[in-house]
Amino acid sequence: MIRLLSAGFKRLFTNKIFWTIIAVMCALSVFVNINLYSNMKEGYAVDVANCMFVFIYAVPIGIAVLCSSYIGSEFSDGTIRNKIVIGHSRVAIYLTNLAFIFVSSVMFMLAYVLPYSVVGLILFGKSGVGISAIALNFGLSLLTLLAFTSLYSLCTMLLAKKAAAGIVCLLLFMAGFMCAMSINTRLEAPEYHQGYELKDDGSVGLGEPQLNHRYLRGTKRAVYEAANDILPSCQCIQISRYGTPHTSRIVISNLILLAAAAVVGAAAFKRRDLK
Amino acid sequence: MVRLLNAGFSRLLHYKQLYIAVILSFFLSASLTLSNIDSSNGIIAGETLKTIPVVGVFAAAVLGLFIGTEYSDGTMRNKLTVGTKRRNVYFTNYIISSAVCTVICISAMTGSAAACLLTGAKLYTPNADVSTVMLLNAVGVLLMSFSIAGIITFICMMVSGKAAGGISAMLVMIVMVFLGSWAYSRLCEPEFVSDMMLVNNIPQSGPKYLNPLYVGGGARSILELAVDVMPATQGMLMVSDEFYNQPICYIGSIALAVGFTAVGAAMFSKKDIK
Repeated sequence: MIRLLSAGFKRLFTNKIFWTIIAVMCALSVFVNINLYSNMKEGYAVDVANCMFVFIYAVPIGIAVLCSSYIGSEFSDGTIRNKIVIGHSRVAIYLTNLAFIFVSSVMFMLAYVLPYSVVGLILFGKSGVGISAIALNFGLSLLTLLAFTSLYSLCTMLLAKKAAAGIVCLLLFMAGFMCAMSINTRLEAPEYHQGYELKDDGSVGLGEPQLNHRYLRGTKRAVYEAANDILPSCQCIQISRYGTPHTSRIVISNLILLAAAAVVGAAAFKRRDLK
Repeated sequence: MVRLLNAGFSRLLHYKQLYIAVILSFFLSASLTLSNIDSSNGIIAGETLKTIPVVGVFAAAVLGLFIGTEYSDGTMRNKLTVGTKRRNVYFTNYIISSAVCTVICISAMTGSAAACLLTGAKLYTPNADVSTVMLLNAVGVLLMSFSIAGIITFICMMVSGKAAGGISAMLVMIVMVFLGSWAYSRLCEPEFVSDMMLVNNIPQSGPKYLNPLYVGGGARSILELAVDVMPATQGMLMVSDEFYNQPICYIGSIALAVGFTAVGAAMFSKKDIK
């Protein structure tokens, strides 16, 4: 397995797509800093921690592209078959590919966070957000990226076609985010609408609060909240807003997702006909 | 060119991915419409088009694989070998792409219509006649699908790899959705804002002050033009019932479609096809 890892990392670090994504993440950090700086110049209170976790929306796209390119090439070029022919186990191949993609996702994260933090600290000074909150968010981000990695690796290893895998992974990303936006909007709906009313003397006063029919209650709310904690795309929104009330649920769900995807993926790959 | 179109459409009719995209857009649109029906069993006409801004992503997925296969299987080379003009090959693929985009849009609108019919929900618009708004939106969606087809055909015909072409087209469409929503949200910022304050327990608006996030001057004109012309933002304008500048939107869509197709055809005629 060590030889697989060593060869794989060498290939990864010479992959043009990998370096392109790293460059895009650096560029994103500069763009976000410039945007924050212009907000500060316009009189807004800006904290360096505000946009520190924007990478959580961009890294999954990078992983989807890299997964299809890196693992897909192994299938199309016959590298996987060669690895098996020289005696590597299929489980080891699956797990090493998972490890490469996860390491890449961590590097994409660092490619954003390091330049962002250095430039941000110079421009905006020390953050008002506690170090423990930032550390917790980094821990959760790693777990969420691990969940994305395991899902995308599973798709790519099962589909085995570079183009189809890339498109399915990107569609999964889009579907996940549309779902997350929808769940988030429903959960954030207030229970009551506070209206204003015009009184007889012409003054404006607070009206009777009106029940919001879109507010989720009972079991339906519990299901939405569970989905909000379990789905990796929903976790992204929570992490970027520093709003993760159910940390343990996020940790457990991600670990279960990782284990399930790895077991299903490795088992399916073991039975796969590699032609 | 008629024979190319015949062959292309007959291949398209057997293409599973197209049917998957059509079914997905139908059900996505129906579910989004169902979730937007209000307590009075009505729905704003624009909200039935919530899937339209992301139609480009579905179309890119289908067309990336469809056109990419022509390169990977050598069909493109065969077409040229038998004497078909490169320009005709490009135009045929553009026409097929337009048909795919239009079919996906129609499927999304049918999904919304089915949801409204099932629940008996009535369409309404805050400011204008429903049928007029729907007609203007329908023309906008049709022209928007032509512009999306132009962009996707351009990318897929220029990038020879099946995976690279499909993924590039999808990434461009996803970036357009994100950029479009950013531009649109900047334009929605009011010029002046005021804070609410309580005076003797009575809420009153405080003094107005200039909103620092308001985009003015030349930058606003550029952003407005971009929002009117970009396919994803046209969809967003329709959804939020702000599809007012129809002539600019229509002309923008046609210009995008013609521009990308003309440039694409010219570049394809010089492309080295291995």
